[in-house]
Amino acid sequence: MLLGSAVLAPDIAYSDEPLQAHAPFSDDSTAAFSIANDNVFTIELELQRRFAGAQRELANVAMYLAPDFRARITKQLRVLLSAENWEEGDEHLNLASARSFARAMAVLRPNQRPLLGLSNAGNLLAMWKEEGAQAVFEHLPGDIVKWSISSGTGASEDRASGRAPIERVAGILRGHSLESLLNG
Amino acid sequence: MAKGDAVPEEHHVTRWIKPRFLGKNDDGTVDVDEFGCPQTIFPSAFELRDDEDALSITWLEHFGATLADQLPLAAEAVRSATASGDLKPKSAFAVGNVGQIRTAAQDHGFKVRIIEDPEDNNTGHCEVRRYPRDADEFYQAMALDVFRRRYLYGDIVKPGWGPALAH
Repeated sequence: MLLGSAVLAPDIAYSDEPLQAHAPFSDDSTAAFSIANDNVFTIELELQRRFAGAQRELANVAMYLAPDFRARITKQLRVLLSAENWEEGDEHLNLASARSFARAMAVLRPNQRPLLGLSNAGNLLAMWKEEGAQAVFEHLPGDIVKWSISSGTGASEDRASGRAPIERVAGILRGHSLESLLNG
Repeated sequence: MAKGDAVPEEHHVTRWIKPRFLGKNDDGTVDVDEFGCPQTIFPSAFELRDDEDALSITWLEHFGATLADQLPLAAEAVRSATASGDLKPKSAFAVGNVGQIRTAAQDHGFKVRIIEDPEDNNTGHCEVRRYPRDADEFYQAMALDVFRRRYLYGDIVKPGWGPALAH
């Protein structure tokens, strides 16, 4: 695959092998939550496990990330995956999405850190914004980004959305003159 | 209030926003403006879950005359209607106008209906029916243009709460 061969090192090239091979726990969010919902301890344990899994995905691309950027992302993930920010019925982080997010950061190499969120399906959300403009990515499993952008007002307003493989996202942002959102 | 009646265009509704949909700073605090109101909502906050067929909202005018009266009561109704009976202080309530929801939907090619759907614990509960799936630009409009006023639940429940004048 282009992404793996052209951008990422061979050892983290895209693979179809199951995520379970990298993680000592199930990635079946629904099953995990049906268990986790039973008591607070289990929810916190599952949150910790998902955080550890996301950290592992970031570690896999560490060579492409500035240490400060990685540290700030890790802080945000810790906040996002804390019981303090957890509501009953929430879907746990999908680790296949965390992998897509980590690989997207390796490809895009932003120097501005995004705000992070979680979709209803448990996919990682990332938002970059500045005055009057924002870009929001939902990182779907398989290195796909569901993106939406907004900039300008009135006659110069530009809003768009779509889905694209990671390697096309930078071009989409350039097409909307929004590459500065990620790189300051 | 009667189930199935349309909510008046000039009225307002609130949607509970989970913490996972609010932008946060590195230290875990919610990204707020100078008035302490959340600045950033992910558009996904306005997506339906797989098990939903309408967007759940609560009618504010049902609870009183001013936002300072309405929102704490609406938030309490939403809290009491949840299975856990608990909302996180870092969750928020976003406020929008009924007519603007309908207009935003029309602008994106959808014709939604905003109707009363009272529940035992939340008599102001309403639904946006015919709500679209996979409509990212519409969700973006809901987050950026319609539900622009947002208040942290942890603030709303403080005695004597009222919205900042600028809001």
